[in-house]
Amino acid sequence: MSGFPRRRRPDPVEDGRAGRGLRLRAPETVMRLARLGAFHQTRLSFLRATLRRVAADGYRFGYERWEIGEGGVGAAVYAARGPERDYSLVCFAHNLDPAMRTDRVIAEAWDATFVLYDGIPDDSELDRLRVNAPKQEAGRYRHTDLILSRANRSARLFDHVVDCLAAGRQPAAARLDETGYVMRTTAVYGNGKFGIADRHRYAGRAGFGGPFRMEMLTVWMIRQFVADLVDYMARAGGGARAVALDRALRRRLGIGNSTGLGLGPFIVNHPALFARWIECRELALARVCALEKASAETRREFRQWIARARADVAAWAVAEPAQAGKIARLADDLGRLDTFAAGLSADAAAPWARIRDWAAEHLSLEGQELAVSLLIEPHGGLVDDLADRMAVEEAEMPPAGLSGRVGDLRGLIEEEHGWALEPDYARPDAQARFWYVSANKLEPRLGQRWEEPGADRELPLATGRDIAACHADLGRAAPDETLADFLLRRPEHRHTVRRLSDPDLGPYGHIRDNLVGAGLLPLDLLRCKLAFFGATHFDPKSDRWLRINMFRHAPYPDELHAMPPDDWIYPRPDG
Amino acid sequence: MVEPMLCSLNEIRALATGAARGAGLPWGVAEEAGRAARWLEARGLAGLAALEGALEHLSATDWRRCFPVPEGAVWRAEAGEIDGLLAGIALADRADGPLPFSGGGALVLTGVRRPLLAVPFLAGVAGVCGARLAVSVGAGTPAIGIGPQSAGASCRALEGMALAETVRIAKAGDGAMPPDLPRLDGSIPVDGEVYARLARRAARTHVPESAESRARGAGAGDPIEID
Repeated sequence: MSGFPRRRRPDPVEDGRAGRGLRLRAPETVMRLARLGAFHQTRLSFLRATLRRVAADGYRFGYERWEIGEGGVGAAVYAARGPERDYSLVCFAHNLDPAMRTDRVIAEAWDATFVLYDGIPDDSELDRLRVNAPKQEAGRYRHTDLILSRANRSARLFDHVVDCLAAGRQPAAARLDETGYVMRTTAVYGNGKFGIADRHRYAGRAGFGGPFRMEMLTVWMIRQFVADLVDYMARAGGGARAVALDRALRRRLGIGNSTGLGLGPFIVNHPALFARWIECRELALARVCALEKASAETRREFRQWIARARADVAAWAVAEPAQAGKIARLADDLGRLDTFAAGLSADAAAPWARIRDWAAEHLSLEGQELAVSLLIEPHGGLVDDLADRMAVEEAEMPPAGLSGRVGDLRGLIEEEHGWALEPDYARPDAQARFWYVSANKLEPRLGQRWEEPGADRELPLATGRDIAACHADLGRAAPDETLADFLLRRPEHRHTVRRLSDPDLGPYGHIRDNLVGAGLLPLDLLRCKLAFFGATHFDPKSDRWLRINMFRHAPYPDELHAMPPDDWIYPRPDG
Repeated sequence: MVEPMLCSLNEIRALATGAARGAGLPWGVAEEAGRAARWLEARGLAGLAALEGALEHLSATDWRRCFPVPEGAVWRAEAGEIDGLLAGIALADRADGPLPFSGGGALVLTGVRRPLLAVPFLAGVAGVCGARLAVSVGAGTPAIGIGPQSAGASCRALEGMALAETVRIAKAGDGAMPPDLPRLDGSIPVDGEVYARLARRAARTHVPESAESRARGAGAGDPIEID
């Protein structure tokens, strides 16, 4: 055991419910990119947690304004009225030349632009947003503007749905399912970007402490706007003949999203937050697996969720060959999981732990991680409290005092970060990539270190390589030198030393893989974060961008209180 | 004349971090600069302007020699003048060890550029010491009260100060101190010129497109499919 002084984590996730001695999966198992890239949504995912909370708090949703002309251009304002505060989604619908419709985050025009506003905007505030929101990144915003977003129509489906409804008939369900959405967002900005509100402005408000709650509320309200816009344009085109989109069909439509490399650096740059997400998910699994018995009802419910997931996986179609292969294997895995669960005797001890352990031994990574989601699913009463504990608010300044000595930190690295020391970084393929911010697009990008210029401007995402370099320099220093003195001589290691000594990181604080190696699959980082959001139907379009769906099958704001708020993620096969 | 810009605190932190990195400071030091600028601006203190002044100097010199050499009760820098940001970092790192003022004496820093930048770190040191610190710049000026995690209104005296001949740090006595600066609520007005200068420094961390990166599709890979 190294003598590196461990600060107590200031805000540990205490587990008072299931008692001590919970067996969490080891970081060596969990924190590998291939596994993280196989994660699926769970009950704790942010969009589900947001909906549960908004429903429980009795939010009421409605129009404040609808000033959209027959061509589908204009403004609309939707209100979300809560017990303590009101919010509003300010929507601007544009007439976008189809030639300009691109999913790139760097586009300059969109079909619709949005601001989630703190309160209900008056005329002058609406005018301010009318000037800025359509410009997105090129506009300026204020602390009253909580979230900034934009969306494009699916050329394939939007017009088809409008045309069907205008002609007085419903679109075919199968046609809706092919795409799964009629609009997709290309960015959802929060936490101070372009002058919008810092997260700390609302992190203390009831219901919005969890991560990305405002972002999720925004996307969910955008979904309502899109559905209303479709109906409105159908009426504008079809007049008396037009029909509104059937509610059951409407629910089959989520909001699409295109995601590129921008998400990757986030989970590396916010290690304490990401570690907390992982820890809560593992804690939820551990609580379930600690149960000694399972009631007949819960066992039945678990198998129902397997059946529901199987239907969803059967509808998960992608063109990218690697993911298509994984999905085929996953479909097979779910069948075997169901057989195993069915074969467990009614009085089996610790049945959920047995299922977890069997899955770990017999299923693919996709199968194992979907099994985690399904094990957690019927146990909302046991785990849902964790959804409110997944945020870590960054300290204004880290605590002063860098206790510890060179020898202690070197020992800690050797004991706990062998993964970082394993690669031979002198080999070109061990650091074949570098992450950077592109001057043209101001977005994170991934370059080839030995073939492209710019590696001197690398972002600090090569965590393993940097730990190894720090370890080597610690080895050249006197073991009893203080870290404060070491960093005075070698300030280039400050980023790494801070990271290694951050008490907030906890057991899951480091992704134990080389983030700049030739074998890096950036999609794994993106998929993992999107799974925590609650996205489904990951559809890779290359090794570095993908399409997803959010809120598909969820209730809309205008029907939230008439439906269970959280029984939709995989719909019942009987509809 | 450039209009003031209304900024978020996260934007201020990101701008300051990027500018410090663009000026050649390592990431870990640049991140401290970002947090310090945010801390100051959140209290209405011109942290970004101070940082811009500091970076102007640090980028033109061997910045490593602008750290204080922490020996005895009078600290100097090899370069002759200590940088305020680097002084703050060195002090905060040593907060849980013995510092010349922990027992009741005083520490004197000789020749400190942009002393305002040291204030957020001193507020952390005050937190560890469990006492307010009294900081005086030059003889005959009233002491500035700092911390824990707060700064007295007299900190305004450090705004715009390019060089303090000496900075003396001691534990504050029991006498009355001006009230602490409140945290601002809402968007933070930032001098447009300062913002633009820092943004130009931050742009030096960005990588221009090259024929190679275009060919390899560094960002999105395939052409974007439209459906």
